[in-house]
Amino acid sequence: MLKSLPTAHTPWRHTAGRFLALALVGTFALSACSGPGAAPSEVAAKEFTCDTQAASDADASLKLFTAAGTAEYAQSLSDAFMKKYPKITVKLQTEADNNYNTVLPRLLASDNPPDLAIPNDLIGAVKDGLVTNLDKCAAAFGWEKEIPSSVLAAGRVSGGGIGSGSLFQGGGASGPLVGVFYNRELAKRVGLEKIPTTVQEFEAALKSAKDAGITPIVASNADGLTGHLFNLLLGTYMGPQDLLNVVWRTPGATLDTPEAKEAAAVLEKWADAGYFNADANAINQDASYGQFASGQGLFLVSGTWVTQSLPKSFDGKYGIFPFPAKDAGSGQVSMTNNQLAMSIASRSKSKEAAALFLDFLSTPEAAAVASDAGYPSALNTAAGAGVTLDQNIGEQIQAGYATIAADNGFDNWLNNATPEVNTKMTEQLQSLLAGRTDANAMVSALQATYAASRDK
Amino acid sequence: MSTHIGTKDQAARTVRVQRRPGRRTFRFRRWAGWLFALPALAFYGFFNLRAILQSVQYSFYEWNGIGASTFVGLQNYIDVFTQPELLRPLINAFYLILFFTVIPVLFGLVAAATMRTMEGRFTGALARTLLFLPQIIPGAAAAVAWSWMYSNNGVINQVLRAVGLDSLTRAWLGDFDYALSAVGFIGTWLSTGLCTLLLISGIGKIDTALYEAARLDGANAVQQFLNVTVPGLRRELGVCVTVTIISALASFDVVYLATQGGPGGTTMVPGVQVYLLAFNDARLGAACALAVVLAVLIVAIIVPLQRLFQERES
Repeated sequence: MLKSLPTAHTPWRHTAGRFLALALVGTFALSACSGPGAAPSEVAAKEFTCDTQAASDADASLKLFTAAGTAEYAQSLSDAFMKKYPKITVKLQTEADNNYNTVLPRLLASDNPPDLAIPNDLIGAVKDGLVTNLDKCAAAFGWEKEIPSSVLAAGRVSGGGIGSGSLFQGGGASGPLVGVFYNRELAKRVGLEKIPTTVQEFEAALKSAKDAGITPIVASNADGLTGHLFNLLLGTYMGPQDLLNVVWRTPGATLDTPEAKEAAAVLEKWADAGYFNADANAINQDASYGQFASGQGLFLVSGTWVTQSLPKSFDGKYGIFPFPAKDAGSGQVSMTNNQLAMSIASRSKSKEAAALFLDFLSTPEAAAVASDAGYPSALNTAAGAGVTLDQNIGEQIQAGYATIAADNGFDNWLNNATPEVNTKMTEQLQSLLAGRTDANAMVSALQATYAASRDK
Repeated sequence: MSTHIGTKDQAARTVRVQRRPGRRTFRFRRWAGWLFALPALAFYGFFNLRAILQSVQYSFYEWNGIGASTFVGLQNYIDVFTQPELLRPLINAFYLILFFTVIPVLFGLVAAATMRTMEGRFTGALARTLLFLPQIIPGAAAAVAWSWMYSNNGVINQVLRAVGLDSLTRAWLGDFDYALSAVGFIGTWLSTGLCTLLLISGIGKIDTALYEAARLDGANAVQQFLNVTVPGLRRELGVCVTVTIISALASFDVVYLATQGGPGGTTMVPGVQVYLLAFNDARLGAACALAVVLAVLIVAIIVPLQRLFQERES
């Protein structure tokens, strides 16, 4: 190390100090009058009229943003679209599943945004002016006539809440079913003779698996994915509409209810009884798929998108049933999010072509692609005859979806209420599984986070 | 050296042009050096200073990173010190110093002293290489590899089962009591190589006559270590401690890839918390406030340490 002369220090220090002081003063002066950031302006000055007449026959290139886990599905959709409109190219922009929500707002605000995406935080995206108002498209494409208003409601935003107002997300109507995947061979071994339709029957199945030395539920919780089960329980006990109100930030909606605590208490009871794999808190989703597919557990609670991720060699060896009802007199519920409804970036340079893509999403061709990917159509659900153990998984998904639709039981994930709630849930679920918190404390903590972040 | 010649030359020329060596010449001489440094300073200012100052600025706002922002004064800083979930990562970071700094430096000292006496070029080189190997592996890759070893059926649990300690096996990174230590040990593994190598090179510079003199005075190996080796390594120890403390307090990659701060926030460190606040929670202001607090803390710890290791030099 060089030892510098003490005299050489003085002028350097002085000048550098002066520079630094100047820069600091400058910054504070700046910060005093102008804060960072402002809503990005729309690129096109002219109003978007959703007139796709010219776009169908013009060269255009669209960028579709997708999570890695659903990339295969997005590719199939794009291929079907490009077959119909050969002059328009659709390119995928893929991001890791757990980065999808993180990256999307920044991309939408950039100068080169993806044209199409499904923002989970739609309220935030609307507030920041990142997505295009689709009211004109709804009129032009006749969505209000074709698509049930309850499905369209998920794409409407007004006054910091979802459910009414202008439409910002549209297209067709197909989404995943979230339920209970089971290993057919292990189900036979623990003597599961029929699909459990009440929580009590399901609990009995969990116990018989545990007694037989089989892990009842394989879950990954390093990434907080026991959240799927928690959300199912919330919807089951609170009723789907009350959960939806929380997620959609309806005025007055709260999580601080006896029903929500009851739901959390069920999860706590199952955790205490050792119904989860011992390493749940240490593993991520891929590891849990691996354990489930290698027969290390009876159930996996997740959505039908995992059929795209489970190994092909496991096909035919597993099935799915919708989550059981609270009791014989209640309906069955499932979270879903429309995988055929998308938003158009407000900074997109090809909005008309993107609108054409949304129009395509409401066609039977698109619905067929969605169905193949495990997203049944909400438009023509056959009356649910119920799910049986001997159906193949495709039939079970259709029948399960129809069951929930018949019960009006679709809701959404509490995780989507606000970004902070999503982060908090992971931490809380890990604590609950390890017995470091209890059901009441968890619900209170989540409600506190929700209340603090919903009106920001 | 070259600047000296330059300034002399400049001075000579100015004298020739302007007879009276007045105030202006003096000024020019003083600023000429800065002129040469200007391009580098401009880059430094734009890419380093501006970013730092911008973080400081953001820390006074509530901002989601995209939309409009609200000036909130010191509220974000108050949050950092009053909200347990923001304070806890700072405490965890200090705990990690034990694993990133204390253990590697102690181990490095012993290893370096042992290797000094190691006979044979080959064994010495082999030992050095093996110890340094973890250093060339990126923290992210190490975290992934270690999370396999820590898993339920990983090497560590296999070894425990093999020696009959089944009761101790667990999914280490998912355990509330052990996850932070488990993550810390990855840090130990990563920084031991650097410390050992630095200390070995330092030992090489210690005058062997000192060891001989100590031996003649009847000092045994331990006494030689304490009285010759350790004092002779003061500078190297200073570097080791500085570098590893910074890596402990500012750790991100190892924790993010091994646990993402879980389970239940037990392994949350400021680096990961800043990331989560900024990008998951869209709370850029709070993220910047925590980052500023962390930076100030690091400087507050490193500067006295530097003094400590330098003062004794003279």
